[in-house]
Amino acid sequence: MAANEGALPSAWDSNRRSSNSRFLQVTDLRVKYIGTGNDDRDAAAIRSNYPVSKSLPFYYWEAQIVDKGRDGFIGVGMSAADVKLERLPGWEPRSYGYHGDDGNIFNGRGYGQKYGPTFTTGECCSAVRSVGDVIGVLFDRVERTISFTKNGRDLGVAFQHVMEPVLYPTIGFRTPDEEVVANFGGQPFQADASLFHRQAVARLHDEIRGQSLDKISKTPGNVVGRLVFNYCTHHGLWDTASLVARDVLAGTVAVSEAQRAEQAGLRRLAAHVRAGDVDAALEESEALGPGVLAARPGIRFRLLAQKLAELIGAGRDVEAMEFGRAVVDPAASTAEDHELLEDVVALFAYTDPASSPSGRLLTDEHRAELAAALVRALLAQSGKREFSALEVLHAHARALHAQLVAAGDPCTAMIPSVERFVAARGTPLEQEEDGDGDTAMPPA
Amino acid sequence: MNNFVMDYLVTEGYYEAAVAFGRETGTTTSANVSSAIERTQIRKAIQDGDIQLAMELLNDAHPQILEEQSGLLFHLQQQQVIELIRAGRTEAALDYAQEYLAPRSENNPNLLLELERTMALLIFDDVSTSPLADLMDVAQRQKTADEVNPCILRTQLEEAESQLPVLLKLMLWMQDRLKGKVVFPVIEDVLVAEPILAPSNEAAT
Repeated sequence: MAANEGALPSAWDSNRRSSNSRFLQVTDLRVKYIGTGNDDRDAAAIRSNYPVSKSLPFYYWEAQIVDKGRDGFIGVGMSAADVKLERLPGWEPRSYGYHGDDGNIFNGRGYGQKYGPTFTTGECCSAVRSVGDVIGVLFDRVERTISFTKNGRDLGVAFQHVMEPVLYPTIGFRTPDEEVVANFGGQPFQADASLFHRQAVARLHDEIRGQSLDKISKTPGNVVGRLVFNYCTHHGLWDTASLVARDVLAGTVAVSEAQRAEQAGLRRLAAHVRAGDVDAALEESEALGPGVLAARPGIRFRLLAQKLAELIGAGRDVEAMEFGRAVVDPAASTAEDHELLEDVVALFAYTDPASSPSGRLLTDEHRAELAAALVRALLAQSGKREFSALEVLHAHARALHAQLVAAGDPCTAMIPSVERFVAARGTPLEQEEDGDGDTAMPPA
Repeated sequence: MNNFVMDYLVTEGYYEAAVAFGRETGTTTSANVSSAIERTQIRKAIQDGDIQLAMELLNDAHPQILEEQSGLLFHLQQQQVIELIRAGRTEAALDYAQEYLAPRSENNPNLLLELERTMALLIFDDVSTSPLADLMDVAQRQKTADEVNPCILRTQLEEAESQLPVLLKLMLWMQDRLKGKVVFPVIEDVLVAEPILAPSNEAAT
């Protein structure tokens, strides 16, 4: 079953037998009642081969009445997996049906509620087999509703609080010669199904844009402005930070000199590492965060190993050998350290260390990565965060989105990604609106 | 993230900060720059307490806006009364309120309430300790300026909301939606920005 998780209804399921399924003649999408139809015990229903995928926010299908048969006791709707098929949809618990003879809707009871018009093939023209009414069923998993259309016209919500996670398109018959053909999206629909999609997307976007930002922080005032200010100071954008403090936050915050000095120091530090000047980086580290290297032997070792690599890379082999023996080797304590040291020492074996298998140690990427790790260590040492609040929020939003996708939340089909949603400012994207034509199905 | 921040500064009408941000990060924007400059000037006039200038600028650029958006006009005029009171020009404040604010609030209970609060400023010796302190606060100017900006954007058929608030709203919405379904850390305070596994969250599973 798991393999078919993404499968959609594509035909009627004639394999699932009930005591009354012998009354049904099934050809792909077409079903005809061939029983006696004496009383309600002769009713027979059939459902689609697959249920509506749980990840779909909504699903629409249509059924055309080919022949109303003797009395036109035809029910169109949805039903759960365990619903018996000897009754019309809506008569059984966990099934929902709209019945053609009286236009009533049924949910788990033998008596119905007034809902819409009747549907039939017409009194005068039952001989013309293709002019019967077309009934559409819209299952909206986000709003938990089922609505119907008749000949393309929306009849409004029929059922609310539809909680069943798994539902199958279902159709039921009761009198001889009743005949229906289904359209699970293989043919154009009578109703503008893309409109349902657009409406659903618009509803969801309105809901999200309607979220209140009043309680997002205990700090009063312009919280978004503060987030921007913190972002600027975190990244050392001092001109912007000062202007944001003045214009956005009306001078309620200010750039502190200590903050500026610390940022400048971290910048110098990173520049030293990137330039291959490890000695200067070691010195600057101690100045900025006394004890930081002693507290983090792992990062200290990486710096020493880098110094060794830089010496070899510069062709200062004698100096490098002495340094390696006297300083680097004794400092190696973990298995990781020894592995790194072996990598570095391998550089000795090549006339052109930079293009050797260990040459990555002498690339700009590697130095930049080491510089970033050192900056992180220093920020942690002074109790500061590695990322600004805004960046944490962004990452959190992405993680939440991934969780919702993993949980199979149908709404995620309408929120392709955090970035796209935000870039569109929460307004539905044009290409999403008309991208999937008349199937009302979001792209897989 | 740089794009989100740039969008915020441009959309909200902080042109100087946007220019500095562009210079410091190399971020560019496709936004309408002249509109951003104009909105920045209006915002700055309001934040400096020069409501007269703000209304002139607004009228020059968008003659219809104050006519169509009576709520906005009222708040600008209210701000003008506050500024006159702040400057100690009590007579002028009274005249102005009688001429502009009073007729407008006659049939509108909400505006009447705001008018009453504003006029009450006149009877306090020390407004900063009164219940009306918020009106005299610079934050009130900010509030008024914040109201003007989206109105202009809407008349220009530009997006009235910047992207950062949308990011926060989406995050809140998703966080709420996951609650009770999946155990996942929650950010309660966006300025603290620490995802925490809330006990109530764990109980849900």
